[in-house]
Amino acid sequence: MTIKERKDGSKLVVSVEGRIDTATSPELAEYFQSHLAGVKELELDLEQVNYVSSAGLRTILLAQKTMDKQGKMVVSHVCKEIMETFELTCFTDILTII
Amino acid sequence: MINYKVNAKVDLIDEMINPIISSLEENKADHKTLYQMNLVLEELLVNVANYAYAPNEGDVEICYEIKNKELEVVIIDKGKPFNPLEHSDPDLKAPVEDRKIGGLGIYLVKNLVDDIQYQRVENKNILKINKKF
Repeated sequence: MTIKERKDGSKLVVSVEGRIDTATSPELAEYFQSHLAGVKELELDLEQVNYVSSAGLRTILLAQKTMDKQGKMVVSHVCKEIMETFELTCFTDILTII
Repeated sequence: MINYKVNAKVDLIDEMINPIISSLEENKADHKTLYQMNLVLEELLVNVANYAYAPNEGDVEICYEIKNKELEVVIIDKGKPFNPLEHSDPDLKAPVEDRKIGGLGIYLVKNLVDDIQYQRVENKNILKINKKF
């Protein structure tokens, strides 16, 4: 998994590439914990992500909880399989998927 | 049934899962089945690796068979008794601030397989899943 970021004023676009699973989630969680200060708008771009396990769901939920306190968050370019996981777990109710 | 043992460690999850995924591919399972079984097996085996023997170590035995477009996998460990089916489902309708971080993996597993059964026999956790494709 690799994490790329692009800043646009107070907006942060985070593009993840690869799998967000048990092995890689801690790195993404750590990234969110240390890079969201002062961010008003977060876009999590999943275009290059082909797999999200429950560990990945938990990490995305943590980012959503953080952004709920300080601004807003959208999740973009979700593939069919990951969308199915979001739907099964009702993450579609709590995430803003564009 | 094909049968193998792997040290139950999180960094060996691929070694546990890959033989089954390869066999599914050989049996022309569709992309959706491959994705779902990758997810199901990761969730179950990560649980074994993280909790069954902690803080010690042990092996997980994996048996599987594909017959008539149906996969059966049996996951056996000699760790602490753990019946994943006893745990209640997470509250998926809770507002985001109340969403708990646990229980999602097992919830996904239960919803992505056709059948799941747990037995505790002779100090072993025996979990059997079936998936048609």
